[in-house]
Amino acid sequence: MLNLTRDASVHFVTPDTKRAALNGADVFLHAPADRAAKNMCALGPIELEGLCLFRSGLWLPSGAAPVRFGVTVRSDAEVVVGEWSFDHSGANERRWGANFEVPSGRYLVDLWTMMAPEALGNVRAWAKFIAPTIWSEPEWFLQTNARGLGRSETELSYDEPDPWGYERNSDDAMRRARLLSAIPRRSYERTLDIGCGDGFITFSLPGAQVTGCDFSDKAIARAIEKQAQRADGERFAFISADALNLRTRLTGVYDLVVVTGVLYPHYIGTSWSVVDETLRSFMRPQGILVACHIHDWTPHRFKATRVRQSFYRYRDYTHCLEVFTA
Amino acid sequence: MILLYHKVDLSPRTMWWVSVDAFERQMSALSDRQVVTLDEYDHSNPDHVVISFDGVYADILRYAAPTMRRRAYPFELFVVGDTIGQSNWFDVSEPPARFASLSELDELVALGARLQWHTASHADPATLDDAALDRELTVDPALRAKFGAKHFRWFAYPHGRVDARTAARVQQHFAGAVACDDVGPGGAWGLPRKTVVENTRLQRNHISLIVPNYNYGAYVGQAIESALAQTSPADEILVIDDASTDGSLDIIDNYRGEVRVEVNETNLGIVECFRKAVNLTRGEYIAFLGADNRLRCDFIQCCRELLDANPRTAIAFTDVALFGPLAPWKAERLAGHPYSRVSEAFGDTDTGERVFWWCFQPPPNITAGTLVAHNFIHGSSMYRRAAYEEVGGYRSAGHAEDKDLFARMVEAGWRAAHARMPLLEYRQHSAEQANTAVGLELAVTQYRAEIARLRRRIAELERHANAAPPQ
Repeated sequence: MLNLTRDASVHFVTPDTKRAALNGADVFLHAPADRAAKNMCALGPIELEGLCLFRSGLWLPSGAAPVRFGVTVRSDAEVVVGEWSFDHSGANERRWGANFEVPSGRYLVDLWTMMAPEALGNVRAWAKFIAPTIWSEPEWFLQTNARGLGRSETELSYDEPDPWGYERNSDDAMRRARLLSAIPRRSYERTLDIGCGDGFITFSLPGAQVTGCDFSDKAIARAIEKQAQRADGERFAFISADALNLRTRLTGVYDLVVVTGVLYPHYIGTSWSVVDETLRSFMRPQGILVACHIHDWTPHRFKATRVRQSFYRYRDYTHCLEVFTA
Repeated sequence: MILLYHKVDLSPRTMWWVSVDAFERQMSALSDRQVVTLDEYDHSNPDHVVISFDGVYADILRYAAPTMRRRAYPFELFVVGDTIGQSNWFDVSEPPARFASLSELDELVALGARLQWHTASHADPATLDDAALDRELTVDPALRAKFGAKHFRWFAYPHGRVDARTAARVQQHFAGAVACDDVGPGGAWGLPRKTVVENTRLQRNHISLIVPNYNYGAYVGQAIESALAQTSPADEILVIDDASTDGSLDIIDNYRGEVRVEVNETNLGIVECFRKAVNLTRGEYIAFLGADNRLRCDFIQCCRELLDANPRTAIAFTDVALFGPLAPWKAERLAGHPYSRVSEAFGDTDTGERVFWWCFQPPPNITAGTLVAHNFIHGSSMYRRAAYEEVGGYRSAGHAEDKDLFARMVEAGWRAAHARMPLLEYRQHSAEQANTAVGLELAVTQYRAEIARLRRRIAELERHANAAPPQ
């Protein structure tokens, strides 16, 4: 997979270099007023071979006239291998792509914009190619199985220990204390902490055996380091797993299931019923489920009997802490 | 009606994706209809529904098929022969997706699917010569051999285009065909299909949820929150305040963006207030939620399905979870109730909190007399407006107005159906024991949000004032 703006050298080819910009993985181009000229950004040279899938998001601001977005693939010797374009209008993002096949070699990929013939002189036509990327078919196939909504950002965060400053922030000490005191006091054999991060809450949970899981491998690695330094380290186990795929990694049921800060759309999409079913499948009959989340981001839909509910301020948000039994 | 789905997944990423939650809601909405196979389908029967998937995408196995199996709905899968097990690389404007493999198709058939044909490579028939077109319409013999004669009897036109040349050949090879739009040429060789998207609504009946409040300011916030958290949302939520004197409106006002609020100027009392509320709403199904109680998130979905399943059912009632400081006392009192069992769901020896499940075992024939003597249909049951109007609605009767209403419905020949889950959380408390903590928490939450909004607005206005050019 080649993210064209990160993995290839970028060379803006326009009369006025201020009219184009790079923004992370995206390319901004300003469509010229003169309909004959393209505003163009050349990327490469890059090695390509076989079936190539070019994919990009296309974006225009509101009030922009229609713009023709295009991509041209040229060989090293300036021979145009293929050219594709698409007329896009309206303030929205859409996906676009083109597939092509080339013999092994080095190629240049031009991304360009042109005013659509009927719309001269529209100065608002800042057009954006969003994350232009070239895939091979096998890479695309692997992507079809990739889940990990939100995973890469979280992974990057855990390059640093305690990326959100839980150990230093009194609000987090408070939320941990509230959660612990909401757990009914009884003896728990098996406890499961979903979204454990580096163990901020996990190490304080009751249970003869406590299992923490998180979809960030790096967070789990940090948790395991902390576990090694504890006298009671044997009580704990950490695994790297996606909340929705937990059943492929864990068997059996738990007396206490804790889930914190995980059930948000950027992690689990908008499919609450899958989450509800998965988490409840880990509860033994009349076991306890404790869920703590930012109130506005979570629709609170567990098909279980709610025995406790409280709301409190957490940083700039309101937390909803609930205890269920089923 | 024939429904057409493509991908069902965790999130809808383009219009061809439907989230699992939306899919569940849509399948639940079919409780008042008959889901049939294409072979059984009668286009002139408004209650017949066929559920079809084109592709066939692998995610269907994980995210749609279990629901179909649970509800015993048959479903039709239109296979594009060359793409079995492949990725969707040729689909330039869609995010990555994978088509079901042969073994996944096997599993889908085991869960109730029929396989049908959607050409070999989804090529546009207009671009093909006769030989190529024949190839597209021929079902791979290996697939026929593997799956047998019940499958591949139907065809779906690719690219939504039905041309005469293709149609003629289709009639030679298949028992029938479906279009890809809801216009379609009609008839057995081009049945229209409705493309389902994320916010497609299949529910025919509308639900009015009414929260009557009188001086339960401490609790009404929780009640409204539970109404807003339903898996199958109400079409309207009406909070009607009967001239409370405890500042309830402070809490209720914060929800005005999400619910309708009606405030009685003088206290009307239960019967008049309830009658007024019913008249202010329009849903075919009605449920009252006491301001001191809460609903489990699937209350509306389960009750609605029971009413949908039988037009003679007027009442859907549920089991109950008893909570609150007086729950143990209530549980004890219920021990002798002939048609129910009480069991402890939860106990905390530190705080003394106990929660109980009150589960009903109604007699096979529910009569009005039974209900009057030993009521087991809680006032928060969902009922049919038509039945309500037929028996004259709530009235003053000397005993509980809800028990009276349901007894009259049963007397008039309507049925009551029972959902065997504790979908209503019924708070047991005395007037003095109003535990204000949670009520205050919610109020503070709302105030904080309002303050943040006002601060942002002030900042905006200040910026605007500062930016104004000097005269």
